[in-house]
This record gives sequence, C-alpha cells and structure tokens, in this order.
Amino acid sequence: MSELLTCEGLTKHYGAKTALDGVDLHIGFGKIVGLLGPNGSGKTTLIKLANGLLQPDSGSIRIAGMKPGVESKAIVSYLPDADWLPGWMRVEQLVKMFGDFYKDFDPARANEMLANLELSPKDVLKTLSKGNREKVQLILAMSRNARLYLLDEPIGGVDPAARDYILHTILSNYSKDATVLISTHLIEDIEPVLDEAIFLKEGTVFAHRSVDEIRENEGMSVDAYFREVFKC
Amino acid sequence: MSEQFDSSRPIYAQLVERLKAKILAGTYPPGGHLDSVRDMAAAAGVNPNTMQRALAQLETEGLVRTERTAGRYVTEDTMLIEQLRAATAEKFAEEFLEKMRGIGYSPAQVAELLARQTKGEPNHE
Amino acid sequence: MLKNLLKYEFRATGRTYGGLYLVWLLVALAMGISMRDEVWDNGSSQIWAYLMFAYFAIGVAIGVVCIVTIIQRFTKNLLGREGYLMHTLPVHPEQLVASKLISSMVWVICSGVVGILSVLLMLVGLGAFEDSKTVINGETITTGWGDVLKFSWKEIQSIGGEFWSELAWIIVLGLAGVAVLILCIYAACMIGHQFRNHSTIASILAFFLLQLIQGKLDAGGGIRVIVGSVAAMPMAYSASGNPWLVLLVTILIGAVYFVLTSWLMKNKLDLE
Repeated sequence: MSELLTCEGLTKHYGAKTALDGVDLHIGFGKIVGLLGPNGSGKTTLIKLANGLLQPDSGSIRIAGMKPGVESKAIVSYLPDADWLPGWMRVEQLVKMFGDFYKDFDPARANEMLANLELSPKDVLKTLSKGNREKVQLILAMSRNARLYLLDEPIGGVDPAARDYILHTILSNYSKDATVLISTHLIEDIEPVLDEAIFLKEGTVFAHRSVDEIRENEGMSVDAYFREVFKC
Repeated sequence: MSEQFDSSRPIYAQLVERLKAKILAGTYPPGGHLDSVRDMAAAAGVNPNTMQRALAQLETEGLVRTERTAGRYVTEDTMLIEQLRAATAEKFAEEFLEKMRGIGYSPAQVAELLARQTKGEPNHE
Repeated sequence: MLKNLLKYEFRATGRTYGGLYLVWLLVALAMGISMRDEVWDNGSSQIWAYLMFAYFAIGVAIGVVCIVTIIQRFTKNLLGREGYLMHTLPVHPEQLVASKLISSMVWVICSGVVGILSVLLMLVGLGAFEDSKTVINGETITTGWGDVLKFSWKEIQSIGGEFWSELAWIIVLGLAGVAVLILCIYAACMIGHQFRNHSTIASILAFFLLQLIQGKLDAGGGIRVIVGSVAAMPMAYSASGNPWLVLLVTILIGAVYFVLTSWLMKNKLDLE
C-alpha cells in the first residue's frame, strides 16, 4: 500500500450547490500536507467525506485502500472545525474516553501536553474559553498514534504562542508511517512545516505541488502564490 | 515559529546555509553527533522531509556523514571545514566591500574603519 | 466497544434521572407520613395536597424526560455536532443504535421500578406495614392499613400461578412494545435525516407513516389490531391468546426498524 488517502472523481453536491467536483488526489505516507483554499472551496467537505460523515454522490475516497468505515476510523484522527465534544465532560473524562475507544491513544502524551499548555484536567469543557477548548480538542486528536490526521482549521482560534506549540507538536509527532493533512487559510504560519500544498478552488484541485517546488518555480512563498491564485 | 525564512526561496536551501554556518562556527563541532532529523526539524520549526533534504545536501558536500545505526555526524575533516570557512569568509568580504563601495568608501577607508572597529575605538568623525 | 458506548451513554443520561428519582421517592415518603392519622388531624392535609401535586408533577416530568431523552440522545448525540465524535469512533452503526436502545430501555424500566418503589415508600410512610392494635371492649384487635394489605396479598396468592404468568406476559409484551416504539422513532429520525433542510418535519411525518404501515400489518391470528400501538400490545395478547406469537411479531417489526436505521446510518449519513 503506497497511498494513504486516495480520491478518484470525488463529487459531492448540497442540493443544487456543488461542493466538490471530480476531485482526484493521491497522498502518500510520511507527509505533512496543507489543504488550502478560500471559504467554501470544499476543504471541510473533503475531510468529512474521508471520515464517512458525508457520503459521496459519485467517485470514491479511500484511506489506506479502505472505504471509510470502522477499520479506517481506527487509524484516522479527526479534528473538526467546530466544538464536537460533549461540553458537560471534564477534560480528564475526555482523556479517559479517548483511551477507552482508541487503541492508539496515548494518555501520557495528552496529559503532558495539557500540562504544557497549562490546562487543568479537572475543568469542565464548556466552562473553558473558546481558545482553550480548541487546544483541548487538538491535544486529544494529536495524542493518538494514528496513520492519518485530518485537522480542519486546527490553529484558527488559538493565540500565536499556542499556535507555535501546536505546530511544534505536529512536527515532533512526525512519523514516516503517518500523514498529517491540515486545512487552513493561515498559510504563512504553517508554510515551513508543509511538504505539499493542495489548492482547492471551487470544489476542484487547482494545484497539488511540493512547497519547495512552488517557491523555486514561482519565486514566491506559498502564501504569496495563494494570494495570487485566489485574487479577488 | 522558531525560525523565520525568506519567503521567496526554497526553505531547504535556507536550511543548508544555516546548518553550514553552525558547522563553520563550531556550534556543531567536527565529529559531533547531530540530533535526529525529527528533532532538528522540530527545533527549526520545519518539515522533517525538508530537513532531511537539507542534510542530504550537506552529505553530498561531505560536511555530514551518516552512520547506519548511530545517526548523523559532522565531518571530522577539519581541512574541509577550514576550506569552506575561508571560502565563505571571502564571499562575505566581497559582498561587504561591494556594499561599502556603494556608499563611497574606498577599500583603504574600509580597512581603516575595520581596524578601528576591531580595536573597540569609537568613530569620532 | 458496546460496553464502552453504554458506559458513556449512562453517564450522559444518568445525571438527569438520578436527581428526579431521588426527589420523587422522598416526596412519596413525605406524602405517606402526612397521611398518618395522628398528623392528619393536626392539619397536615394542606401539606398533603401540595405533596400530592408534587408527586404527580414529578411523575409526569420523569415520563417527559424519558421521551425527550430517547429522542434527543439520538438526534443530538448522533445526528448533531456530537455526531462528529460518535461517527468517527471505531464502532459499527449497529453498536451505536443498540447502545441508545439499551440505555433507553433501562431508563424506562428504572422509571417503572422507581414508580413502584415510590408507592411502597408511601405505604411505609403511612405506616401500612406496622400493625396498629386497638383495644375494644377489653379485646385487642389489629386494625389499620396492614390488614388491608395482608388481605389483598392473600387474595392474589389464592389466584396463584396464573396471575403471575399473566402479569409477566403483560410486562414482557409491554416492554417489547416500548422497544419497538423507540426503534420506530430512531428509524423515523434517520429517514428524516435524509431531508437536509427539513429533517425535523420529515422525521415526524416518517414516524406517523411508519406507525400507519405498522398498524396495517396483518400478521394473522388476530394480532393485526394490536401491533398498531404499544399500549395495545398486552391487549393483543388477550385478543390472540397466544403471547409467543405476539412477541415474535413484535420482535420482527423491531428487527426491521433496527436494520433500517443501521443501514441508513452506515450508507446515508450526511452530517452538516
């Protein structure tokens, strides 16, 4: 198996609106990939399809050769772009719950990260600030030894110091067997950590290139290139 | 992030320059052991594959060698490091002189300025 | 994994029920005490009226909580935001549906048991299990509620095994009917989920449609009327005279709903 995420002709409509239109993607192991595009370009739809939260209208999506299902879910760690954990639970209960359900979850790593970001395990999730809630959710997602991490806007709501810590975490968590897909519009911050960039434009793949190759051939950063491609 | 990068050039090329500077300066001493690619990448805030690529470049230039099990080491070939240091110093000096010429300094004036500066005397002109 | 799902399901639902049960039992006990002769005469009737009202209000509240929890734990936890978590856990849709059904049934049964307990507590409060002796004309006789209970108990025992088996069947069939109703609600929610922008109204319509179809089913043996509604489930038994047949038909209908719900969850999930 040489590919971790494969999309072929992946198409998804919401009523009359087309969210994804014939997307072909091939992503290998050991990569950190940026999924870049303006709002409404289909980033979240793609990630949800990979998680089986949405069903494609046509085409296919596979994780390590498997259709989204129980087996793929065991190796995919997902961070949605919204609050998705039960708000009444304490942080320590959430850590326990992730440990109960995911065999690849490392509670020691989660607790260490909570301590580093000065988050109290006793706190009830819904009493935390939005930024701290996002940190907890990201910590839970990153404390798994998954094969594929699907992070939907992981750094949008947190302060720059936490953002650095999070990117550092993603890097120190790097494994040759695992791939991290990060959807974001904050390209400048994450550019140095990326191998590849996927540009989504109106539901289609505009470009899928290596970051160094873009810099070399376009003579500009991926962030600058992005601004040029999506100029209003 | 931990390090800032010039936006228009490939990151790996900038990493090569920075790693070289550290070897020349002795921050990474000859024969010294280097951290794992992952740790070096995390410290620099860059992608591990990018760091890998930069290290591979240093390897082809002979500044770094890989031992199959023990990881990466800085070369013990001090001659090579000296040569590179001399070449780099020459390059920097040329660039500096070029800049000084741009503001009307003759090489003699530059030499005088540098002599004063390195003695720690302030310029009273 | 089903064990884990159930653990968190009970933790999520238990918070509401626990408190209600406790208050209900305490009110029942207090109500019983307020009905004792010695306090009644001292003007406890006013308090009794309040307690009576509270007792029935809490009883109704528990019923409402049951229904609301059954619906919300499905729509909110599985088809709302929390669904992002529930559907990315490495569990089968069947396990998700089963965990919801089992926990719902446990709470329904618990509510019934607590209801019976509350009546017993009321009798305890009343002193019904204490014999009260009165001396009339130099003769000591036992009076009060204790006698009434003893008499009723003797009556039941004289009917014997038949009474108990009837009662057991009515309970079993009633519970089976409740389970089918819950599964029907789940199936209706999953059908409604297919209509992205009108899922609530579509779910309600689907529920009545399913109930209508269910009511039209003719399983033979006089069961037709019965499977139409849950309350009528035990009556179906008396009508057909064959409890096993009624149970079988009920289980079959439940299985159809279960499979339909799981299938839709596996193949037609579309979380916004």
